[in-house]
Amino acid sequence: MDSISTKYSIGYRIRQAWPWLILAPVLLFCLFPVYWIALTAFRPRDDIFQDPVSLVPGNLTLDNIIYVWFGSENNAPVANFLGTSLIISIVATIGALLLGVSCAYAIGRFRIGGNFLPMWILSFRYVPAIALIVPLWMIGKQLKLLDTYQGLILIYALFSIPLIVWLLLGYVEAAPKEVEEAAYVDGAGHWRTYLYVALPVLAPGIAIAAVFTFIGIWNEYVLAYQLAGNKITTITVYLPRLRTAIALLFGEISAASLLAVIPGIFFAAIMQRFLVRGLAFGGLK
Amino acid sequence: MSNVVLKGIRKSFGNVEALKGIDLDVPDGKFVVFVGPSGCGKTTLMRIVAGLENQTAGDVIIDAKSVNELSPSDRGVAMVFQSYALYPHLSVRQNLRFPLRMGNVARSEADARVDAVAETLQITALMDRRPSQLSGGQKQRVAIGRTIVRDRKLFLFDEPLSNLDADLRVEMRLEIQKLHRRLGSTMIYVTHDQVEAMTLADIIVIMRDGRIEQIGSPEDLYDRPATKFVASFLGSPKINLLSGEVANLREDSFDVNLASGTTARINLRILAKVGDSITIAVRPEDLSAEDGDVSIPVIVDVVENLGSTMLAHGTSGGERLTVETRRRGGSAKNLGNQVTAQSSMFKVFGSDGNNIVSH
Repeated sequence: MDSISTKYSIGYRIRQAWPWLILAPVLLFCLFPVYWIALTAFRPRDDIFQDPVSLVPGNLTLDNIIYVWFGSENNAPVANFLGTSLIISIVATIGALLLGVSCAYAIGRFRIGGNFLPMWILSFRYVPAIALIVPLWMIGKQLKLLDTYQGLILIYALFSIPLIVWLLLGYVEAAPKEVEEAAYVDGAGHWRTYLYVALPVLAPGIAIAAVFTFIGIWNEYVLAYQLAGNKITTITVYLPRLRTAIALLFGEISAASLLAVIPGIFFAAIMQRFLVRGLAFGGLK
Repeated sequence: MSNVVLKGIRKSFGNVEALKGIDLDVPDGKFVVFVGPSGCGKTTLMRIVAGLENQTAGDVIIDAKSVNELSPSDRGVAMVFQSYALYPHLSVRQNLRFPLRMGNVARSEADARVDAVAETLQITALMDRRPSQLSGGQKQRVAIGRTIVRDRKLFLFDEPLSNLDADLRVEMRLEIQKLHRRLGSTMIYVTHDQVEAMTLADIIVIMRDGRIEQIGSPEDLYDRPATKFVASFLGSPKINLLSGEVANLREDSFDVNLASGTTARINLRILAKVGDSITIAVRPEDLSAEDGDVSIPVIVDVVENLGSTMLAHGTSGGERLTVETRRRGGSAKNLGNQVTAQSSMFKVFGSDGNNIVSH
């Protein structure tokens, strides 16, 4: 018997396939650097510099990974810096979410601050952080926040709040008020309604905000470099320093970069669960 | 059990006045239905009773105590929302338990209560499902279950049946009636459907444009409507309205010149002057081929067979007229070019829409 696919004409199949003609180059453009980093991370040093450059893996080794993970006389173990980044990113994300989500809820439900407040909060992001380096550095020096965990956490949390507020505002306004009103009538005050009803319903929005905030902080370089970088060094600041006296260690940098990507992927995978679960609600018709 | 008194309730949203002065006494244990067309303010009024909206002026008094300053959680009411508003992230069991949890009821007692309610509403099999996995009727039962799980003194229903299909609506109407009989609590029910109002209510409050048009039992409102609006709103098919002018006035009867060109004599006393524009109204089921003392000419153009009844639609002087007769043993086929009705069945309204029949 003929299979089902033969019922479609050639013309139809071409028309179905042409979006891929556009997508394929874009995907290649985005994914190739990732592939190259992974390839370089597992290649022995000689293979990295071979001429002509080879796209296909030849010999593979774990030497680079081992070198960065355990460290050497020139370079500390990369685990230290991953740890620093992790602490800063997690604490700052949690702090920003606590303030940002409640702010979005207050604005969305109770119109706190009228029309002024949301725009004022967003205005904090009009200026790129790099333009504020000098005043931030001076404030940091006065308050003894330079090169400390608390300094970076504070500044990252503050910079993340506007985006969290703006992202969550949409979700808050879309969430039906009636479910919260039902909670009021059932005897829950504002606080308990917020904790037990509003937040779970907002879970997908919070998950997305958490992922974006975490990754944004994890990847940040400029502030981490200017306002810290000595005792407190994040992974982004550390990577360019992987070198010996005479050369940049590309293989090792690639290995460290690969390790640096893992927490982000891990975190996004965890949040995925909240995203999907939240989207399946149907307590309203 | 509680009684609710509303005094001078006004509500404005910006420049729009949604409620223009509502005074109402809801007696203990009665089933009161707020009914009216969309936008009349019935839902706003109920939300004010619940505490979900603040009135611009006036007092809400429950059990002789003013509750103006109490939040919804402290007013001791239970509410079923039009969209059911079940907690989407909780199972049916947790939904039912929520009010008990908020009231800090002990876990074991709460569980017993929840199981009892589920049994009553026949939703025991659904306890572990999420709202998204329930049908409309099932969600409705859970919403109702959530209200009876605690001993509330006042129940509020906000158009709970409007999202159900016809069969389910009839079934749930009966369930709600049974609930009221069993609990005996005061219930306030909002709907735009006059059938629900007629069948469920002890007292109907008809509203229009932010005001109460008339209050009374279903029979009162049906047989003795105070205004043309009330007469048209209740009753299906709609009451027949015929416009005319008073030709002659006597002690106990009057003559009216109808649009059809004829003059009808109706044996009712009305408060009017000769020459006044009036509207006479008679229900489709009160019209027959020959049994009445008042005759109205009609040209029938469509006859609908509904199975048990026949609806004959026609015109009289350019105005539409509908006659309802029983199909078996009825006189629909005998309708010639006129219909009749008893004088006492007529309602008469002045040009301002108010009833002008005096007794």
